[in-house]
Amino acid sequence: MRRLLVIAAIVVGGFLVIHLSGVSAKDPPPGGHSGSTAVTFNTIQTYRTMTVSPTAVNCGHYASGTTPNNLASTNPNRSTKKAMGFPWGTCAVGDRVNGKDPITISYNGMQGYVYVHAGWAMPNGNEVGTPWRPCSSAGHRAVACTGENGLPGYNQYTVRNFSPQSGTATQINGNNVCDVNFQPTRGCYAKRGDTQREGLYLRGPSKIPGTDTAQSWTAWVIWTAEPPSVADNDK
Amino acid sequence: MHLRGLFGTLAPAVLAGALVAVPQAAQASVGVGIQAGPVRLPGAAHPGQSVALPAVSVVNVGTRPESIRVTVQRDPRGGGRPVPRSWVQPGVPSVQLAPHRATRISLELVVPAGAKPGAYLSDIVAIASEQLSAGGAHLGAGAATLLEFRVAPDPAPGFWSSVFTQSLWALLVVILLAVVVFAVRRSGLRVRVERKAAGYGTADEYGGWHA
Repeated sequence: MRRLLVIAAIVVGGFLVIHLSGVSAKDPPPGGHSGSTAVTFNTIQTYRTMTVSPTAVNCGHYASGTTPNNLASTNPNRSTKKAMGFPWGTCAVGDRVNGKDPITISYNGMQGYVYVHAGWAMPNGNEVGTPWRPCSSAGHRAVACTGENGLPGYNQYTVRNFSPQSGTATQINGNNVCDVNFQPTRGCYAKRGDTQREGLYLRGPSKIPGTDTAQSWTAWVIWTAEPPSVADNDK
Repeated sequence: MHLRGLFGTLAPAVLAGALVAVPQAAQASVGVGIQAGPVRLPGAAHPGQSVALPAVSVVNVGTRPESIRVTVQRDPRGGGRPVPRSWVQPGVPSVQLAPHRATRISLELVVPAGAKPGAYLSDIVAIASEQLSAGGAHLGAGAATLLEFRVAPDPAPGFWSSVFTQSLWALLVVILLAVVVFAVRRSGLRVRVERKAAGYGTADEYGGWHA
């Protein structure tokens, strides 16, 4: 009888151990014969996508800096038709006044926002040059332009973008900011299939290191499809 | 005359080729997509712990093969603690994707020992980045989704602590049963069972049978 009690205790204990530790066998697969049919259906695009076309554009309409350092036509540092001069030379991708906006930005997928930022301008190939950093003429003290009157300083440059609907070009910098030119009437809100054409204005630095020899540069501009905020997601 | 005839024969083909090639060049695009749903860690992470985040899906929606990388960026709209970039390590630095191809990239969250507890929020951004082209402006595309997780205030449980937690109750039950059995045996408690004889013998006081 004692043995019986001990065995019973072990069995009960084992059962409790298995039960409390969550160890259990899965249900066996259903047996027998069954019939099935496949149903095919489509859903909307669940990715959030951003497409930019073309992939690269050339800067044109080169011009020299403006006041207070107007460059006289005899100034050897002025911009030429094919190259940016110093200080504060400019070039343009497209022409806002004449409605030329060569870059097409397309948003697709679930609703969200279009943000934009500029990257460093880098010398091409094996050319020697210190990267130029995008700066902001107003606000964003961390990336503020250090030149006179909010113009780019040493190794800095500015980028402004525009679209047919925008009244003025908007400055962008290294921080991801709402691209108000994408939907001027709705901020940068975007929904499936929204498209905008945009152009860019670039302005070079006040000065570059004397050791830099690069004459060909590439600036980065990146558009990003952003999700709604957490608050929007929870609605 | 012969050359003129040859030109006349080839001209339509050349023209047709040009018409096809020019729109293709003009329509070249860079594009990237990312899953719409946020990357969310179930439960909480602990300081000093490394945990696998759910993998993130990315897609190349451009017209050319792309090298796509994922990184962490501060949520431009704020909210929650920003996630330092070094905390999230993709399984691969970048993936090569043909146009209209998608893949999943694994992510590991490495929470340093001194991490502050709380809710963390940032963006996981997929960026299509190809080689620099010559001159002008190079245009890129990115797509972001939210990254959300919580860091608990207590340190990560160690191995022994985990083992202890899992088997604590089981061990207590076994000990309790053993104590009960031991107590029964020591006290001399007997269970009396009475049954009527079936004709072949009689039951003794212990419930046993004898002829």
